[in-house]
Amino acid sequence: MIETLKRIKSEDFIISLGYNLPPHAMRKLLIRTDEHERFCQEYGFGSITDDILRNYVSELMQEFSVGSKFPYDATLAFIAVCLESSSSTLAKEFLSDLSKLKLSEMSLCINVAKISLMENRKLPQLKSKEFIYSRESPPESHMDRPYVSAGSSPVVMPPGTVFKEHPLAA
Amino acid sequence: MFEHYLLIRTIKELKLDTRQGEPIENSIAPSVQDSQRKRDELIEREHPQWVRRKDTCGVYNCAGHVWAARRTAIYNTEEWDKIIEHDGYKEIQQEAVQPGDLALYLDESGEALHVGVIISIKLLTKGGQPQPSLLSKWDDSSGEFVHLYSDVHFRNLNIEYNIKYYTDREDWQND
Repeated sequence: MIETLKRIKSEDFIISLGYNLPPHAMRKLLIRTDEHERFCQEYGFGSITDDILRNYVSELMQEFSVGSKFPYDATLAFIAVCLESSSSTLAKEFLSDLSKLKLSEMSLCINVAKISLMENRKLPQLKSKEFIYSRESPPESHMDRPYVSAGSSPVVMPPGTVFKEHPLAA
Repeated sequence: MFEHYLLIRTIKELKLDTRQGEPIENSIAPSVQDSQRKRDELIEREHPQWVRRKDTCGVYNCAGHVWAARRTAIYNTEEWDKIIEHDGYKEIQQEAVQPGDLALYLDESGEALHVGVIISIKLLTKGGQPQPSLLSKWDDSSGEFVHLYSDVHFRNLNIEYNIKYYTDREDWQND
């Protein structure tokens, strides 16, 4: 298992956070940890993949028991805070689903996830559209315009359309 | 990712309102496990001056201790602000606090960290600043401790904090 994932569920890490602070203050505390920077880097560079994270969360949840405080409440709160700055589908799914839960056993991570979800929604929305250059000849009337197809539907770009590489695509 | 758990609801709330009749969001905390007991004891060891009043327990947190008579937890700090406003609390100086008044701990950006009840006041030097002691339940799975106002667990997390004191004494007048 990846060292960071091992660390954030360890007793050492959970105890190092002290008593649970209220959700806003807890979020700030989690952001300040060394583990936060490490996790964000590893998730960003792909050492921690979506599949790894999905399986990891699923393993943690096996410890869930109705009526007892969830032992990995702080671990899930930590993941929520790390994912709030990610635009990935998994990040949105994680934050959205976790913040909808109605479980008193996991109050910390649910309340932190609600804040992280709001933070995540403030991120600039990256919308991409894949254009495939058409192999067919464009109709005569479109010869003066760039002609591409989006998926199977041909699209005629407005005159003057300039294609640029998106800065984040590099 | 949590599909299965979306179908379960274990939150139990109490009917709890402010004095102005606005509902207060709350949730009764579940029972604690050995890992929380261990954490409670380890943190207690870092604060030798603390006096334990009550063993590790669930049900309520600091705000539930102060405003809900140990019956439920109030996690959301916006609810704390609402209670302070609706219940007629007034901010007072440390020199004026009396047992029964409240100490609200805030971080450097004004985010609430903790609230506790003042239970005694010591005057260590003549004419010096009074030193309030508090009774605190640190979170929804800690014990209750008596401690000096400056001897708080988040001091060890390098969190800068300020304290605001509040009273509900109607006869108290700010100078």
